Amino acid sequence: MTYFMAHADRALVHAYLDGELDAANARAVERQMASDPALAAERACAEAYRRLVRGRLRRDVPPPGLRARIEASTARAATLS
Amino acid sequence: MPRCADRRDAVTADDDQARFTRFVLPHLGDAYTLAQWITGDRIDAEDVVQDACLRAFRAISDVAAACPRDWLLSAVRNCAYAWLRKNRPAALVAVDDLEPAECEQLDCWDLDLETPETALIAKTGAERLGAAILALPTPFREMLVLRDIQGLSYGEIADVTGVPIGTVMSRLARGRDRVIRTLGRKKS
Repeated sequence: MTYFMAHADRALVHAYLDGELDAANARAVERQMASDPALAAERACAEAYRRLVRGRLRRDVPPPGLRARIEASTARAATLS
Repeated sequence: MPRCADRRDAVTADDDQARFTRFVLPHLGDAYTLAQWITGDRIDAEDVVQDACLRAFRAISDVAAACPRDWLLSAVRNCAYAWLRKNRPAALVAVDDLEPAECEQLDCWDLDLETPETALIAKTGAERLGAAILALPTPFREMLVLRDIQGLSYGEIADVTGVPIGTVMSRLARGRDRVIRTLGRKKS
C-alpha cells in the first residue's frame, strides 16, 4: 500500500513539471515537495531528466522513399476497391 | 448511367488520395518515430508505418473527422504490437509482472544516485540515453516516446494508447525513474 501511495506522489511530481496539473493540485504538490525530502529529490531527478532529454532525443526522419512507397500502396488500394 | 457512376468513383478516389496527402502524410515522421521505438528496428518500422498508413487510407473519412495524427499513431501502435506478438513475444511483458521488482528497488533509490546533475547531464550522450530508453519494457517506453520525444499531452497519450490517464501518468514516472536510475548507476 505504501508503495502505491508513494508512487502516486512521485507521479504527481512528474505531472507537475509536465504542466498537467490544475492550479489547486499544482499548489498541493508544491507544498508536498517543500516538506518532503523524498519528493524534493524526485523533483531534482525529474528536472535533470528533462534537461537531459531536451536536445538529445529527436523525432526520427522517415527514410527516403518511404513516402513514395506508401503513396504507391494507397494508389494500388484505390484501384482495387 | 455507368459513365456517371464511374466518374463519381474516380472523383472519390482522387478525393481520398487528396485527403490522405493532406491529413495523414504530414504525420509520417511521428508515425515512423513511434514505430521505430516500439519495434527497435528501422526496416520493421517502415513495414509497420506502411501497414498503418494503408489502414488510415481505407478509413480516411474517420481519420479526417478525428485528430489525424493521433488516429495514425494509434494505428501505428496497433500494427507495431501485432508485429511484436508475431516476432518478439517476449517483449510483451505484462506490466503487473514488473511491480514486485520495483518495490524492492524503491528502497535503495537515493543510494543509486550521487548528484543527478553531474552524473546525468554531463556524462550522458544521446546514444546512452537512447539505449536506456530502449531497454525499458514496451509499456513504459511508448509513454516516454509519446511524451518526451513527440510532445503529446497526457490526454492525447491516453487517446492514442487506450490506457487510462492515471496509468499514463504512473508509467511515465516509473519509466523516467528507471532511465534515471540506469544512467545514474553506471559511471562512464
